[in-house]
Order: sequence, then C-alpha cells, then structure tokens
Amino acid sequence: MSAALFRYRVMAYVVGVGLLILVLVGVPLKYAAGSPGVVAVVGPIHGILYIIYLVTAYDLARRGRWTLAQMAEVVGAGFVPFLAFVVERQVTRRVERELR
Amino acid sequence: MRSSWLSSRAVLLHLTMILLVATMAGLTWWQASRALSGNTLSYVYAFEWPLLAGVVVYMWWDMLHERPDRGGRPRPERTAVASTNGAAAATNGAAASTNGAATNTNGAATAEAGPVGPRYRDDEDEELAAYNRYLAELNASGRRKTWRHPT
Repeated sequence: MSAALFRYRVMAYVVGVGLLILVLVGVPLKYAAGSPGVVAVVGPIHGILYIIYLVTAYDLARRGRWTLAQMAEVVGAGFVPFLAFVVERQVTRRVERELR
Repeated sequence: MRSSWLSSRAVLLHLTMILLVATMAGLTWWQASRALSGNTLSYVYAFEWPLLAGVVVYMWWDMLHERPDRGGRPRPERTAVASTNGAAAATNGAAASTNGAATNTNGAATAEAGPVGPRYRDDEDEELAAYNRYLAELNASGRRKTWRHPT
C-alpha cells in the first residue's frame, strides 16, 4: 500500500509539473510567440505520463477501496492546472490515516 | 452475475465508459485526420487517445468484476468466525507444542492469534518467528490475505 502510494505521488508531481509547463510556457509560446517547440515536445510526453499516472492512481484506488467520486477527483486532477498538487495532498493524508 | 451488470453502480460505470470511449474515439479520428494532413504532433496524439481509451475499458471491466469478498475491509461475521477458529486452534497449538513437533504448520500459525496469547518458538528461526508473528497479526485483525490487498 505504501509502495502504491509512493508510485501515485511521484506520478502526481510529474504530471502536475508537466501540465504547468504545457499550459504556462508551451501554449503561450505557440500561440502568442508562434514557436511550437515546447508543445511539440512536452505535449506527447505529458500524454503518455498522464496514462501512467492514471494507472498508478487506479492501482491505489483499488487497494484503498475508494468510491467512484474519489476516483473522479483524481482523474480530473490531471486536467486542471495546480489541482494535481492539491488532490495529491488530500489523497496522501487520507491514505496515511487509513494505514494507521 | 447478471444483476451485477444492472445495478445502479454498474449502469453508472457503463455510461461513463461509453461516454469516455466515444469522446476518445472522436478525438482519435480528429487527430488522425490532422496527422494525415501533415501535422506531426497529431500523429503522436492519434496513438495516445486509443491507448487512453484502452485503459478506460480495462478499468470499466475491472470495476465491474470487483467482488466485495475479495479482500478489503473485514466483514463482521468473518472476523467472529476467524476468532473462534483462532481459539480452537490455540488449544491445538498448545497440544502441538507439548509434542514439540512441526510448529511451522498452519495450525500452529493460527494458534498464535488465539486469546491465550502469543506462543512463539523464537529459538527455532528468527525469520520464521517474524513471519509467524506477521500471520498472527493478520489473523487477529481479521483481514484476508490476498495479493491485491497486501496491507
């Protein structure tokens, strides 16, 4: 369980940072400055990483027997900038409380 | 079996899965058509969306076939049965230890969880004793030992 939590936390941070780079750096550069380089590199990588994030989150959800609403929260955290960090804190606190 | 596909939770899962997969199929189609018209970035996305849809279908299938008796929180009646088993096995364990034979069998392992209290043969093997303690702890907490729920 703690290993599953660790895998989830690593992926939450990676995907959270990836989305921020994409939205705060890549998209302005592409559409305001006309240089699509960052989006072309970070975009596909973020896509793959998000899928891995989803798998680790689902693994943790199965072990912790989460409700569907809790799962939806974690899935959505991959789409909204900054939300991944907030949800990661909540999930970690909840899982650690259940582990005790 | 059939009713598990028609429960409100299952219907919610069906609808969510169909909605997500339909959306992702549409996005795949859109990215594929953009890729064919020369957009290299879309070429990658055209493969990533179906992959994500595959993960969604796997989750849908996995959640549908989830059974509450496969680990998770212990049900009260199971805990009660386990503790009476433990008590019965504890007396067996006591008998076995007077014989001084085969303490690493299942009977002896469950005996440790009995209300009599832990009864280890630490002199035998430190690793085995630790494992027996772990088994006793699991039995006392009433949790099932499955690979899916190792905690």
